[in-house]
Amino acid sequence: MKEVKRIASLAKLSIKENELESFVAEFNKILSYIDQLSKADIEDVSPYYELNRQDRFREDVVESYPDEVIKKIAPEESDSQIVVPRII
Amino acid sequence: MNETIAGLKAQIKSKAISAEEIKEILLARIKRFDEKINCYLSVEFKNSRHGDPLCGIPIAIKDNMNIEGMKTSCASKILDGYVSPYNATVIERLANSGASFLGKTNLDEFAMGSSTENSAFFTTKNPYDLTRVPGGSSGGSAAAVAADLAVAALGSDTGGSIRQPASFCGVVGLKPTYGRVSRYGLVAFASSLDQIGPITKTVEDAAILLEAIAGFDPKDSTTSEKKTEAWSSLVKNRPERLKIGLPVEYLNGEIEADVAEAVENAAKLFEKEGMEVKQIELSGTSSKYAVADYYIIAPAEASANLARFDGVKYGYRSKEAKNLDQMYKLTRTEGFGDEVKRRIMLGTYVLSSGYYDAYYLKAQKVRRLIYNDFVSAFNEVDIIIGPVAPTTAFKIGEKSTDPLSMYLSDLYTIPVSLAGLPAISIPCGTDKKGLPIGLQIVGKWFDETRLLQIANLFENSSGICHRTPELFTEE
Repeated sequence: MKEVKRIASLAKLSIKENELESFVAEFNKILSYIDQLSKADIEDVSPYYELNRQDRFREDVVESYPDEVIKKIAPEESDSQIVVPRII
Repeated sequence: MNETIAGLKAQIKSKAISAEEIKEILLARIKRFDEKINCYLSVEFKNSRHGDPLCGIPIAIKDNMNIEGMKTSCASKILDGYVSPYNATVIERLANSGASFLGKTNLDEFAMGSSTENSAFFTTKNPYDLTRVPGGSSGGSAAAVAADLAVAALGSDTGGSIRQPASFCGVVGLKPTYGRVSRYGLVAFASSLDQIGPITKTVEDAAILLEAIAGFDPKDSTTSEKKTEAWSSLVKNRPERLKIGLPVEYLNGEIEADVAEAVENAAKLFEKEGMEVKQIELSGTSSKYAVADYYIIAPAEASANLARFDGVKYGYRSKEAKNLDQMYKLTRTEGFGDEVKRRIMLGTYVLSSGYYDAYYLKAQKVRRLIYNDFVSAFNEVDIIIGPVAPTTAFKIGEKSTDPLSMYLSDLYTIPVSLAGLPAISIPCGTDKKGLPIGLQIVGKWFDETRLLQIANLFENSSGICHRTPELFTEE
């Protein structure tokens, strides 16, 4: 339960006290299912990587949206600047 | 109005109908029938230039793909108020191919689920039985096509999210090879697995849409530079004598008798058509460990991808927060639904310090074994067939309280996704309740051509194809 709270905090989530017990039970059930992977024989196996993986570079050019877009989609803005709660 | 893209295109060319009339008919049908199944999150028509090859025919889009000027919700409260300032590459390409857009379809929140019950707004119902799920996560797209409230649609598939709803709704669903279609503008769930594909009434229509959307995109570095094919015409060619593999373990597990029988009948039909059908055995890694493997890899990637939903730049922001950290936590806690939270938690856990080797690294190694399984299978055969899902559409509420049982319902589609292979679900019969059964056909990497041809052969030879359910036919 303590572990679940720690993970929630890492993920920036909180789980309500009254839902914690059922959440933990469900979580453990899934983890124990996932744990069957420990039986797989993976000695000398290299990890999978993407099929078409290759580095592709593009010019490092800043692309920005017009001010109207920020006005339209930001939850809070002022002069087309995004506003967040005070941090200092 | 039970029309296909190919059929409508011919009618538009001969002036028997106009794109405008098609639009009016579909909007009227949606108005009349959508309240029965709730497959659309928003109906908002958007025109493009009406040219060849799609001639203005409207396509429905799963609501995790961005269309400029329209809401993208991912069926989540956390995107409340978000109107996309840009087009996904698939939208650009469809528009350039002359398609119009009909609206955005329902899904499980952020495409996490197999029933659309995880939508934050409402559950879509199966057009063949309103007490059952349409499958998921592209359940809205599949139900819309099945009920003939769309000519065709796009869905996205991470572990089966195109194929399983297509199977449950008796339509065609194609998941292309990983890297075939650009993911730019598709809201990311698990980036090494996500792939956009068509949901249609016929195999030919799937080929037409694939041709329109596929190909390298500089905006998605995982797209392949392999050249695309003229699938819309190639699909009609009869494939040469192919070796078709039927994995024995697929029909020996916990699978409904009607489903197993329909798949066996499909195998017989292929034999009758001159194909060589042989039983094959995947080494067991894929069937034994794939679901567990997927539920490490997909949540791990999701937990990273969904970190962007923090209330800062767009979408929902909690009003209660007094400082930045609270704003993140409250926004995410109030904005995400239970299943999304569960997967973010799982992903955060398996990636957290001290657990990476035990979970994620091990999962990537097992994924390699699953991939190798298919490499050896495809040394023996050209095509693999099997069921899409172990059952037909299940009841609304039947699995929603037991996430693990929901996860296990994707056991036949997940291995294919982990290996990055192209696969199609096509109708291959109905069960005793009259519900559609899907046949999964899996091709070699980037061999969509033979995949579509063999699917088209089955469709023509079996005569089994989409029919509009009775509830949705005009009297």
